[in-house]
Amino acid sequence: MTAKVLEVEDLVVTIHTASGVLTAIDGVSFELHEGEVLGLVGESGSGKTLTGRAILRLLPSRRMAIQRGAIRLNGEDITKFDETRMRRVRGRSVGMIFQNPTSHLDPVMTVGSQIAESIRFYEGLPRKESLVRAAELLRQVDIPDPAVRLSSFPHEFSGGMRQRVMIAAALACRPKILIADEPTTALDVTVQAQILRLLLGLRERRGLSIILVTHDLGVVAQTCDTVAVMYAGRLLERAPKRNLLRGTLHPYTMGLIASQPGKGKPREELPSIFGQQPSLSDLPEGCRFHPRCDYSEAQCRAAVPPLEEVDVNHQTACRRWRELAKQKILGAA
Amino acid sequence: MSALLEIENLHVQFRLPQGLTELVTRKPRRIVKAVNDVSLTLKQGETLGLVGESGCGKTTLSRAMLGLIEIAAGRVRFDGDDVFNRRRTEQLALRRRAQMVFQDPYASLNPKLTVGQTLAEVFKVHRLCPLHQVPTRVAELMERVGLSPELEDRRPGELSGGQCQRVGIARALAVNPELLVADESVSALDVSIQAQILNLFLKLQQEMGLTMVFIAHDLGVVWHLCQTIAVMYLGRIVEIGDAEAIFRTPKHPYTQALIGAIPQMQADAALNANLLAGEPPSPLYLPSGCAFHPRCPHAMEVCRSGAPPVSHNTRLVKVSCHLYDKEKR
Repeated sequence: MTAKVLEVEDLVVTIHTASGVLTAIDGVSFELHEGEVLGLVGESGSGKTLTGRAILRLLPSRRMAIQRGAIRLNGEDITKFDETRMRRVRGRSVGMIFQNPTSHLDPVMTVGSQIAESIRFYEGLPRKESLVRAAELLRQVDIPDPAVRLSSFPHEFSGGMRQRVMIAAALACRPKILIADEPTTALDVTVQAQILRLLLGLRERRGLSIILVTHDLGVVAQTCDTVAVMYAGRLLERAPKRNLLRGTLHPYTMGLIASQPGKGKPREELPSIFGQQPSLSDLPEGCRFHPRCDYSEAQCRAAVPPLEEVDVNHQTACRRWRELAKQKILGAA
Repeated sequence: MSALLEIENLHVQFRLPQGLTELVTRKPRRIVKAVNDVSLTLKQGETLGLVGESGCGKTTLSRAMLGLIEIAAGRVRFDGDDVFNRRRTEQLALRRRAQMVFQDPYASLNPKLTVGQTLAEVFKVHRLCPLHQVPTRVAELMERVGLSPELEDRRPGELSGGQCQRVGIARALAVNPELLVADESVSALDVSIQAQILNLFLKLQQEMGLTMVFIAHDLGVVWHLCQTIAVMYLGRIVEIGDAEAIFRTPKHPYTQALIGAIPQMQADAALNANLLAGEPPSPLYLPSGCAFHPRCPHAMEVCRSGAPPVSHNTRLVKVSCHLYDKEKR
């Protein structure tokens, strides 16, 4: 196993609202190894994006706070860092890209100066040299005519090209970790495939570790090494991709995989998970998935199921996984 | 089975606004050819899936089908009657038979109206039943799309995305339409909710014999729901025909690339090596010849010049590509 570059332990993020304190992320733990692509999967509102942002301590609102837990970057707990040290972490150690590049690039700044800005800030390179580096970065993300495109503005690029620019900017100071929050959701399938290939190529070339936040299990299947499934703020299952897709040990993951169209017989009813994800202000007792789970029992309602180690690197938060696996409902067929 | 919707040589163009310099220099107005010479027929009870990258004209085509936008040339006939050149009463009569469900479930509902009011409005506008029956009809409708009765007094802001989409579908179904056009109606939804809505569409198809046009960029969704598929590229249909045949053996290089790019959900899936390069060019500057030739791995000299190729019939599928010139009958 390669070196651990990031370790999140028992992370709890709370939101202060007028009606009380809500827990948006409840005890999430995972680790990221060098060169690994970790998929953080879940439906909207599951807390996957928030987890990604919490790692950079970029919570979207002042009402949110990291209540508990540790985020260890190369062994150092960054939740204890002050803002000055955090700034260095954000640029140099961990980069982040977002779903919508248009709203995360400055529309009145040329692409070149946006990328060069962080190189100048963190590495103190003079303007000219930083622009040379920026052009080299654009070349690495496969933008044609990089030297010319330096002086283009974001609106002169297409959606896929803007995403490439954002990747170049995030990698400007050679971070070892990239957090990609739904980087291809807004793109067409053809362009999505190009961007995913680019990310995997960068991992090869730079030894980058990637946390890929996505709701698309197809994307996960193509790119990730490990998958963590989140639901209503909790981690339900964590496993190497192959184990998860071949033999998941959690009913929610099973439901997610089954409800994906494109398999089975056309024009037949898709297996779907009934109901919807609970709201944070009205979370069920015990396992948060139990009201929607076909296999829930009294014990699921009674207490929160712990994340249990079932195999090497495979953990599930289902109390009934052993029984269900024996009945061939869960696990490899 | 008779044809419910016939589209013949449809062209839709948008004229771009001119800037001051363009006005002064008397440059001609620039024109976007959004839909280019599209012909298709939709049989009663058929489900057509319209796929393509963003900007290929799928939404424009679907709006033209219902007479919602002006067309430049061509003809759209619904059950034999022209969709355009209608008086207001005829327009309303068409709306009772053909309806649309939109992509963004929040934006397509009036935020100030409750679910009950939104649905009641349809019955009132179309005078579908006496006023005192409206509440019962609304309740029936909500049950049919799987909305629980207590949601009737809620406003869209208090609903989830899936619930809003059900309201949008209920609103379209209120008139008991024969044709339903769904424009990316499941794209904004989570997988588990998406499966629920797809099942609802399937149920409606089977129970009401609904004819549907289903626009989606997710080919898995289209594969699951549709019998016929039309693949669009820059305003033209490049391949159209039986869904099964197109998915199994796509003929047009663009369709091949599109299907190759679908993320496969297998444990050993890897990224497809034969990726399409680049992105679709702007419809403002259409390439000469076959519009796909700059990105096409099989482009030949003939593709670059001359008029775009005509469709050649294979048994179940029509494809517009020079590669199949020899198969011309």
